[in-house]
Amino acid sequence: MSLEIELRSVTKRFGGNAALDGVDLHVPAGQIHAVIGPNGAGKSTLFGAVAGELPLDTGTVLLDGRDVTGASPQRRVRLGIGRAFQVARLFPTLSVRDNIVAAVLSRQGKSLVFWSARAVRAARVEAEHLLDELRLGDLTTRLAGSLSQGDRKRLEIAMVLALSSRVLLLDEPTAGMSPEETEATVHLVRQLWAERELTVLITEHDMDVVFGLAQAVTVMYRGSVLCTGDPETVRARPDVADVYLGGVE
Amino acid sequence: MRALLGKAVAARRALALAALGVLFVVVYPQLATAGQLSFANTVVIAVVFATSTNLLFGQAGIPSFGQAGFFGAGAYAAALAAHEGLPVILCLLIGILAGALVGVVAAAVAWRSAGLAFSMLTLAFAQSLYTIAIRTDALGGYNGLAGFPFSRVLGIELSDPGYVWYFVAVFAAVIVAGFWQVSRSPFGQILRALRDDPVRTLFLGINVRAYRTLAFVLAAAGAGAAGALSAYVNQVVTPDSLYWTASAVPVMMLVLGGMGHFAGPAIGALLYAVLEHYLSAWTTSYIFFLGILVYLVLALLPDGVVSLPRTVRYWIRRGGGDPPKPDEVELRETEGAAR
Amino acid sequence: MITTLLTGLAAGSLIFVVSSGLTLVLGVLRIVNFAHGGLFLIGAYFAYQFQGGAAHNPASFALLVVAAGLATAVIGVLVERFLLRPFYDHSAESMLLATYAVLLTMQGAVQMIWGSSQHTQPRPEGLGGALTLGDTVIPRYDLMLIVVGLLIFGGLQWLIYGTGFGRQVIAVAEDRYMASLLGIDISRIFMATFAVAIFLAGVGGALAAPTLSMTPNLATTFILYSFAVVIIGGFGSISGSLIASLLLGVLASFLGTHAPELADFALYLPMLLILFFRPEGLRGRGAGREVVIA
Repeated sequence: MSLEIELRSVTKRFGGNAALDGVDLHVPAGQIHAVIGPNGAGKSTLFGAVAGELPLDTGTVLLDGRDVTGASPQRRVRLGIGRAFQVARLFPTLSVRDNIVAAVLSRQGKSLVFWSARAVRAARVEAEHLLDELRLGDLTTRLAGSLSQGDRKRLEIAMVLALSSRVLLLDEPTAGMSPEETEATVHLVRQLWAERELTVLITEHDMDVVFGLAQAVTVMYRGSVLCTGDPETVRARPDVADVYLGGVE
Repeated sequence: MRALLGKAVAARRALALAALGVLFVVVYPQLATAGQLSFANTVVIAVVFATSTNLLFGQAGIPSFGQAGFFGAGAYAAALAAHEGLPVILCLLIGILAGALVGVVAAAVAWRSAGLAFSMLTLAFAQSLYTIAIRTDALGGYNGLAGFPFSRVLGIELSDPGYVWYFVAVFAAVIVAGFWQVSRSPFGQILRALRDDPVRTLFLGINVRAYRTLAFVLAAAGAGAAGALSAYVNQVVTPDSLYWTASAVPVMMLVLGGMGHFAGPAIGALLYAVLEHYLSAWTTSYIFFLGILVYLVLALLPDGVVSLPRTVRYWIRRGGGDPPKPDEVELRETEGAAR
Repeated sequence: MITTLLTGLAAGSLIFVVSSGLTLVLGVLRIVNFAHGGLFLIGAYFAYQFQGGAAHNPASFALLVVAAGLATAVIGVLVERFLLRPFYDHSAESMLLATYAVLLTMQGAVQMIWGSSQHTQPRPEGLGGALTLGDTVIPRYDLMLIVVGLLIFGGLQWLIYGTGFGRQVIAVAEDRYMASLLGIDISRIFMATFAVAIFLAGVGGALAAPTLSMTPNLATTFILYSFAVVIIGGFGSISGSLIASLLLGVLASFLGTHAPELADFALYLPMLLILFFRPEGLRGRGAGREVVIA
C-alpha cells in the first residue's frame, strides 16, 4: 500500500541561488526516511518539490515510478501524498472533529455536494473513530485554534491520515514540543507507520528523534545531497560532523 | 449526552419557531394594513438577500462588494420575462438563473485578483452593470422598467396583496431553506475550512478556486432570487438597485445581525429595514444616523446583535471587559450549525 | 483635438489629486478607505463655505483651497485616531465596513448642514475664461488644474523619496513588522500618512467645487473614479495613479466628444483590459505584493 518516492537531478533556483542543486533522492516504499542538514541546506525546498508547491527548474519527481513532476499539489494529494507543515496548518475556528471531517469529505470526493447534509453526518462518525484511535477523543468538540502546540501537530497528522495518504511528509514534527510531547509524537509516528504501511519522509532538528525513528538518513548541505545511508553509517562519517560543526547549528 | 440533549432541545425549539412562523405568515394579511404588508415584503426580500450574501462573508470568507449587481440582474431579468407574459414562477426562476449567470462572469473577472483588490473589483463589476442599465433603452435607461403585470400561478390571480405576501413568503422560505442546507452540506463544511486556511485546504486535495467560484455563483443566484422577488412585489425595477452603494446594504445587514450565525443576516435584515423605514420617515438625513449605528454595532458587537445575549450575560457576570468568543463547539451546535 | 486632450488631462489631474490619497492609505495602512469620498465631499463644501459662494482673486482662492484642505485633514486625523484605529486588528471586511459607515455619516452630516439641494461655486477671478491659441480653446481653470496636479505629484515624490519621513513611510509600507523593529513609530507614520492623504482629498474637493454642481452624492461618484485608478494603476503605486488618472480623464474626454453614448464606460474599458493583460495594474507588483510606494 505504501509508495516509493524518487527525485532525479532536481534543481530549483531562487534568483541566483540554487536551493536544490541536482538532488537525487530515493525513498523505497514503506521506509522512514529522514532528511537532515543545517539551516538553509534545502530541506524545506526538497519537501516543496515532493509536495508540488513549487515548479522545478529541472529534474523529475516520480511517485511509484509515475512521473508527477508537473502535477499540482492537489493532484498529488489524490495520489497519496499527505503533508504536515512545520507550523501546523489547521482550521482554527472549526472543532477538532470538523477539521478531520473536511479531510474525510475530500477523500470521499463528496465535498462538492451542496444539497444534502448526509455525508457530513457519516464523516463525523468516521472522524470520531479516528480521533479515539489517536487518543485525541476528548478534544473532539474543542476549537482547533485553542489546542496546545503538540495537539495541533497531532491533529494535523490525523487530518493527513483521514485522507488515507500513503506517503507522510512531516516537516519538523517535534519542533516546539516538550520532551514528553516529543516522545509521544515519535511513538505515534512509529505506530502509524507500522499499522498503516506508510512511507514517511521527515525533516527534524532533534537528532534523538532522527536516530530513533529513521531507517535511512539523507544529509543535505547547501542544496546538495552530502550522503545517504543507514543511521549508524551516516553518524560515523566525519564529513557529516564537519557540516554540523561548521554549520549554523 | 449533554450534546444530545442540547440537540433535542434545539430541534424542538426550531420546530416551535417554524410553527410560529407559519402561523404569522398565514394570519398577518388579516391583521396588517396595506403599508405594513408591503413593508413585510421588503423585509422578507432583504432576508433572502442578506442570507445569500452571508454564504460569501460568513462562510467562505469572500469579501464581495458587488452583490447588488446580481440582485439587479435578477430583478431586470424577471421584469423582462414578466413583460413577455411568462408565468410568475418562471419569471422568478429566470431571475435566479440571471443572477447565477452574471455571477459566473463576475467570478471569471474578479478572481484575477485577491484580497482588497477583489472587493474593489466586485464593486466595479456591479457598477458597470449600472452603467449598462442606464445606457440601454431596452432596460428603460434611468427610469428602469415598470408596468409588467405578473400573470397567474396555478390559476390564481396573484395581484391581491394577501396572495402576493403568501407567495413571496413561501418562495423566500424555500430559498432560505436552500441556503440552510448548503451551510450544513459537505460543501459548506469545506467553505468554512477554506475561509480558515486556504493552503491547508489545498493540501487536503481541494480545488480552492472551484469551491470559491461555486460559492460565489450560489450567492449570486440567491441575490438574483431576491431581486426577482423585489421586481414582482414592487412592479418596478430601477437602475438604483445596481448602484454600488446598494451592494453595501446586505453587508451592513450581516454586520448588524452577525455573520457567525445562520439567523444573523435575517435578524440584521429585519433590523436594517426597520431602522431605514423609521429613520427615513423622521429625517431626510437618515444616513447620518444609520452610519453611526452601523459603526457602533461594528465596534461594540463585532459578532452582531445575535451575540447580544451572550455579551450581556458576560457583562452581568464579570462586570465589564471584552465579551467572550464562543470557545466550545457545543455552544455553537445548540445555537445552530451555521458556522 | 488639443482642446479635448487638455480637458481630459485637467479632469485626470483632479482625479489624481483625490486618488493619490486613497492609494497612499492603501499602500501604507492597507485600508480601502471608503471615507475618502466623504472627506473629498467635505473638502468641497468647506471650500464653498470659506469662499461664501463668491469669486475671489487667485491668491486668496489658493489660500482658501489650502485652508479647506487643512480643515479636512484635521477631521481626517480625528477619524483615523478615534474611529479607524480600533479596527486595525480586526478583519479586512470590518475595516472596510467601518470606513463605509463613516462615509455614510459624513454624507448625512453634509446633507444636514448644507441640505440636499445643489450648490455652485464660481471659479476664481481671472481663471474663469479661456485662452485661445489659433483654433484651440483652453479654459484657464483647466490649465491651472494640470499645473496643480503636476505640482502635487512632484511634491509627493519629494516627500517620499527626498525626506526622512518618506523613507520611514516606505519602510512601513514594505514591512510593518520590520519597520517597528527598526524603531519606527508605526502609529505616528499612520497618522501622518493619513493626514497627507486626507489633505489631498480636501484639496481635491476644493478644486473640484467650481467645476461641478455640488450635492452630497458627489462622495459616492468620486470614490468610483479613485477605485478605478487604483485598480488600473496598481495597488499603492503613486506613479501608477498618475498615469491611470490621466488615462481615464483623457479617455472620458475623447469618448465624450466623439462617442458620447460610450463616455460612461470610460471607467470600465481600461479596467477590463488591465485585468486581462496585467492583473497587478500598470505599476503594481502582483498578487501577494500589494504594497508599492513609487
